[in-house]
Amino acid sequence: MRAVLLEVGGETLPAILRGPERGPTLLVLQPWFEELNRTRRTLACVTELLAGRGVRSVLPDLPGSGDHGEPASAVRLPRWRGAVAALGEMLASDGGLSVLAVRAGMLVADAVEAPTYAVAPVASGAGVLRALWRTRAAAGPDVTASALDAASLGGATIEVSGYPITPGLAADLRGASALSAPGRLVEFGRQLPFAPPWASADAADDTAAFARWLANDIADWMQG
Amino acid sequence: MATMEGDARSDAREQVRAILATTLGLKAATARGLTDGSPLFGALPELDSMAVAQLLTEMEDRLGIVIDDDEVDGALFATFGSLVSFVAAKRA
Repeated sequence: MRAVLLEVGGETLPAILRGPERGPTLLVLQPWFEELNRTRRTLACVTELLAGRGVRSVLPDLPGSGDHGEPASAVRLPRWRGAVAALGEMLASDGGLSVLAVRAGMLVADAVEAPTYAVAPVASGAGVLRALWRTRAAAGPDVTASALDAASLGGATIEVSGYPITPGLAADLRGASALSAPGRLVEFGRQLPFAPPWASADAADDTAAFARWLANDIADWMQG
Repeated sequence: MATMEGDARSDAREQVRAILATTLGLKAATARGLTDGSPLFGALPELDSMAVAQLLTEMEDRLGIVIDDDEVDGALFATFGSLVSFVAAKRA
């Protein structure tokens, strides 16, 4: 494993590289906000297992997320799409490139021209925004999702679980759909008999079993 | 008429079961074992407030319904049956 700073498309992106220096490469587009925190360990396991199957992986922290130097208020969809497009161009020149998009990671996956493996992708940016408002409303007191949306439209930044949702980001999400059709789509429940890593911390911890399943399936898909 | 109502509720039940299984990653046996009387909020450890927010949004996206703020309260997620009744009524 190597922790690096990638200079690409005018951005400086912290990234974790695993696997061989060259060869088939997987660009990992992580979930957003709290889901990213809850998924980090799983994705570390998956990419480590993929390295054992000869897959090189690149897991970047996009502007304002994870270990990126800028504050969370820097998260904007056009900037993320630009960064992902530049990453895609850089990595494609090294050999075959595929994308792993998890949850809201799917909202930027179509910035790269590469086959995409999608894990429980969100249906739309508007849905992500509604879920954020509802999560904030559940924390109370006396605030509703629709009142939060109205405040956002009026120019307010709304904090949800410690993440500032700026009016700009909210506008980006309202207009965003997950555009590209994934090359492979996996959903939890019948297909994946595991708890999603972003589910409650109280839920059963089957991270290791889920990571093994996912790494094997991704490797087979990339090599198939 | 009774049969049509029964079918609508039966459809809603299976759709809600599938959405719960997918969103929360319920084990197949847990999902299959849900009956109208099964308690949800407080009984399923997977169902925290973030999961509730996701579940409402998934239901809207997959079932083509719109859920207003004032329709969401503790009673909605009290049991599997209360959630199924809500969806069946929304789609009636």
